[in-house]
Amino acid sequence: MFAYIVRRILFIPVVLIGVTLLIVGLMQLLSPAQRAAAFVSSDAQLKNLDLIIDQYGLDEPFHVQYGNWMQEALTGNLGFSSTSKEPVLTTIRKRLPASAELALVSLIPVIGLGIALGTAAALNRDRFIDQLTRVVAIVGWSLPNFVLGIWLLVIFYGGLGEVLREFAGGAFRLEPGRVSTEISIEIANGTFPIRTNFLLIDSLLAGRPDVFWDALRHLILPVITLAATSSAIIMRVMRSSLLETLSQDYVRTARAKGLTENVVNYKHARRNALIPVITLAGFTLIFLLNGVVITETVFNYPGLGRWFASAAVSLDYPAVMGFTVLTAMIVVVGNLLVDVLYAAVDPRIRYD
Amino acid sequence: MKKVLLGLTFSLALVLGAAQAQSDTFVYQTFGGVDSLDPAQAYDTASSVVIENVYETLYQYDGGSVTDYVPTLATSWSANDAGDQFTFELREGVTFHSGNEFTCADVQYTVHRMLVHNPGDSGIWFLAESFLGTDLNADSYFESGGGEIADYDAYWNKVANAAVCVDDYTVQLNLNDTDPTFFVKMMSDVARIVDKQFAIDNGLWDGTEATWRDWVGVNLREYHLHDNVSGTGAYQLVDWDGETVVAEAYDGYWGTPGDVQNVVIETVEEQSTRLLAVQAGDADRVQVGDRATLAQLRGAEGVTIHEDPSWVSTTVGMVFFNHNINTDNNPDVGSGQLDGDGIPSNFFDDANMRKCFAYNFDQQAFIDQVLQGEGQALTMGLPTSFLGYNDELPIYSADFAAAEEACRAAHGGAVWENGFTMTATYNAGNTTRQAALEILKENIEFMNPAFNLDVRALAWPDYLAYTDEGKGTAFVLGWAPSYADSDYFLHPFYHSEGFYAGRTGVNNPEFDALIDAARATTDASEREALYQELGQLVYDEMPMLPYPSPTEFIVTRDNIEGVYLNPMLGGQFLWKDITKN
Amino acid sequence: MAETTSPQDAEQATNLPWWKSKPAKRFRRNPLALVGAFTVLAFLVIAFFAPQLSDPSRSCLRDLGVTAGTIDDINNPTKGVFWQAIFVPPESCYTMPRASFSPIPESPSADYRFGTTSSGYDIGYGLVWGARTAFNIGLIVVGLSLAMGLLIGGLAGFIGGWVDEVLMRFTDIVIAFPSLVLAIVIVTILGQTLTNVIVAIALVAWPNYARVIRAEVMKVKNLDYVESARALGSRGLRVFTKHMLPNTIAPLIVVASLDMGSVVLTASALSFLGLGPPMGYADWGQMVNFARNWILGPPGDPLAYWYTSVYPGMAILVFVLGWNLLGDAFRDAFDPRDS
Repeated sequence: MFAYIVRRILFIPVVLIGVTLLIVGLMQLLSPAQRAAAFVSSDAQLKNLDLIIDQYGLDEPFHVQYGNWMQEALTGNLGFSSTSKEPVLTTIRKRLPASAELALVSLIPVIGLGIALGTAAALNRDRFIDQLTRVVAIVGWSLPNFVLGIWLLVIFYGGLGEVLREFAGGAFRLEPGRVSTEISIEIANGTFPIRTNFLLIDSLLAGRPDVFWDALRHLILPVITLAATSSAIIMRVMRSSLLETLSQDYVRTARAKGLTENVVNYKHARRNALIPVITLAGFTLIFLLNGVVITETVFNYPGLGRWFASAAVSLDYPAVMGFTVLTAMIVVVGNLLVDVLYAAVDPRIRYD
Repeated sequence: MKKVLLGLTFSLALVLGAAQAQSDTFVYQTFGGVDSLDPAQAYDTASSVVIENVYETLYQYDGGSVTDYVPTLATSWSANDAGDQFTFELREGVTFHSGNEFTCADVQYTVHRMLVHNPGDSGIWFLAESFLGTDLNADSYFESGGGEIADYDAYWNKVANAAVCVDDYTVQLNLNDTDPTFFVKMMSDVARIVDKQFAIDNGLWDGTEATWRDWVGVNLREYHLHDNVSGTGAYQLVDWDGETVVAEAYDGYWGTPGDVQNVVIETVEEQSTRLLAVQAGDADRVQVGDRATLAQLRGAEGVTIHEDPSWVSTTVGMVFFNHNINTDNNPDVGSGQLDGDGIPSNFFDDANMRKCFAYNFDQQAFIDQVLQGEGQALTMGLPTSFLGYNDELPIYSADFAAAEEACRAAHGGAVWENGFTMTATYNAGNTTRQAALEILKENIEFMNPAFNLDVRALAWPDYLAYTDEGKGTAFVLGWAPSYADSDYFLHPFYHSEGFYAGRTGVNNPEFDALIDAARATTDASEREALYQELGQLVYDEMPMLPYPSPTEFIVTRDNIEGVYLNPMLGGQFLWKDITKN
Repeated sequence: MAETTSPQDAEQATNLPWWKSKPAKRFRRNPLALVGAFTVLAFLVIAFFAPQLSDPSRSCLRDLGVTAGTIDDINNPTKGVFWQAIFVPPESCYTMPRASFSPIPESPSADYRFGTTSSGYDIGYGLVWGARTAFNIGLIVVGLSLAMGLLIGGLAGFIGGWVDEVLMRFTDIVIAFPSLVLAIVIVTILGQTLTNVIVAIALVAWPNYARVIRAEVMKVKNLDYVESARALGSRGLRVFTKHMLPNTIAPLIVVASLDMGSVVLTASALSFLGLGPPMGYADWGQMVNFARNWILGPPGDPLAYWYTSVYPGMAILVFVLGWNLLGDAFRDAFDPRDS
């Protein structure tokens, strides 16, 4: 087991080098003038295109560009993002907590809903409830998240916005963004201290329930969007995993011993059926990264996903590199954790 | 359980307290983020919105006017007869946000640093041209072969001589040559005065000859003034986190302070979200993409749409015809011959060909449909409010008889006979530019079935490279003023050394002579006459086709007063001039 | 023949035609499967007869060589142009005709039964031809990823050893990487065309196929009959195609049908971010993007422009749903554990 973990950790730099080489390599398909787009946002700046290319070394050969990047990266400088107008690392430090907050909060309904629906479906197999939950899950899975997000905004911010505003004076308004303007001013002038950049945690540390609630209500619509479109996989796995355990010997034995149906279902079967679900949850988090790109764009949420989407479109390659390296790291480490977790909950699994 | 409920009630009470909208805060929701807050780096509208309120120039435009000026950091000015030396008397008793006192040293430092840094993607080039006679920074200048300036030392001497302090409150600015546009150039964002001591204390160039060469062409976004401000403006920066800008009124401001205490600029890319925000009162002003969108706002309670027929946009949109198309490996010229399946390199070199296109452009349809009826067709590539705009000239528009005549005459009749196939381009996502080309396409193809005009979009990076290589056939770009002078439009558009020339191959000695003559005189009426003459020539030659400019508008909450529109300001008005009731 | 012990042959030995096989029966008993199949079929018909179900634009007619006099030929199966329009329509036919250049959408009218989007594009036309675009994207991506999956999964499973280790580690990384993120990077760099969207999605979609194929190849590799086939001198490739491939068909059908849905979802998400086919191309994702600025009606009538987002949004939803129901049903039908 230990050797396995070491081998996997040693594997991380290989992946990172591969990923970065791939991106720098892809960037070479572009001409220097195309790469200059990251610095030229208006027609007026076209004036000095050659100067810009020269200034930012956009016409350097592949190995020089990659070497420069690597050299800087090893000293902890991932370059300057022309999209966020600040060093890539600063942006990541600032925005990663925002995205993580969104993804982690989403994980609660995603897993909760997935397990609940999956259990209900398995226990009522082939009956109406089973069919219904499966249809609901498949519809959710088929929903384009940007369409769902826009429709939610129309309904809750647009149509019902007025109603929600009158109800309790705006405390229950569902609006885009991460915090309301008043709080963002407090954050800007330092009245509200930012410690972790997880607003839900910072607000508790600062003893500010109003900020906590403000951040939470901004999460509601994006979380619904993510949950609706991501619960289906968990539900699906939970259902078939529970069905499998229910048919296994020890469950039959338990049943034969005369234990009630509930005890059998919940105590014995479900606990074991959760094993694959736990591992899947790790993957779900990664999968949520996909959804986060779109959801953050639709809900104007200042996270990594939105930054990445606009950075990619404007060929801001330090940003693209930084984001991809980060994602690759999360993916590789996440995979490792899932494997370890899997071994921990299921003693039958051994790595060598 | 009771405790929980109590806690909930308590927190709810807190929440309700906080949800009250603050009356001393002005929230502006816009799209497109700020590039940089360093005046020597930023060259985009979103940055201007902040920079123009935290920094000041020596003089500034008076309210909404682009022809009247009021003194700000200066109190008076004079120029010598040759028009190449300007002297400004500076205001006393002004302090920067840092507390440092404003003196001539700051003006000098501002001028020196812009000329030393002059990064390629900034807007310094036009001031560098006035001061030094080149728009390039020292490194680029000597790398590209140099010119009149002998070496680095001579370059530095020119820089040092550009701004000289006569005493603490008098600055003398020395130009390379006569420049009638210099005074208005000094009202552009690049010329906003920075705090010398603050800059040096925070690691920027120390202003000396010993170190200047280390600072040539650096990316100023990586230095302190990029996201920190110490200006003399009525507002000081509280925070800019790369997305949201927060500013507050500066209580040490020398002039009349602003009524609004806090200003917040939020970047909200989704237009619908912005529209909802202004209706809900979450935003006091929102940026709205185009006039058509107002259909979603008209009649909304609490929202005011400020508009005025005279607010014709000063951005000129242009369909460029490339007089000398690079046909190498160019997918848009078909066969590259006049055989009906393509176009040759000199396709648009024939004035009749260009007129054939221009007469097919339905200006009215463009105004009615794209601009929703509020726009102004242009006679030449110049904003209607600028010196020398000739509104007596006729405008090429949907005249199919004239179009046919020009088409038949073009290339000795070969075009009419054989037809042509070409592709015009625009940058992806710009629906206005797309519509301009598609309107052309519709009429041209209708006139002669052998005419094939396809339209395709290129992603911005591709578009940059593509037009730069001279491959654009007919393509669309726009030009917005950095300072209010006609030369800023006419030289780039029509001069053979202008900045579009490389993309369009425009090369007309008569154009050049008129533009150069206007540059050499400081007499406004003489310049006006020269530009009007140019207008006539441009009409005869039809080198490129301007499409109608929209009429601008501003959307705010109805409790915002004092709104005006100055096209030279990124935010149309200064924050200190408005009130929120 | 020496291979009569293969499971495939064993099933055939009972002489049942495929539609009477157990999976087929299970499929037919599942009502959701039928709904899915019907939905997909309906879209298929719409896509196939797109030229007949819509009024093509002028450039489309021009490129088809149709003049005002022969315009009815498009609807006449005895004319060549009828089939030409169906099987090899010129690129310009995929462009939605414009009713005007106005940015304001127009509500459904007699001429434009589904209304027009912002910029005056005909929504009805976009819906019909968008179905074609969806199938084009889905089928090509699935085909490409299948080919890549076959190559990589097949090699890994068949050769085994370190080749397997390297290929599967690579597959793990790609599969774990958020596919949309990777696709965004690839499309922006390759350039924003439909072809590149297809390539980008295929480059992120193949790992599922590789995994399935490898797993099946590994399973079958050590079975007796394969060993014996080898012993009898069958060459590697022949063993692979004759014995291993047939076993992968069932799981591949499941993966492919589920993929048809998710591929179209990814493509429309890219379009929504502005990374799709060119402006005006009949593509549902782009149409939702058009609707983005028009989700709000004028004050007092907040849903005035509902048709701009509801029609294309529903088209994507129903299309994807159809494939997912179908895929789900295939999975149930082929998976003996669930039977």
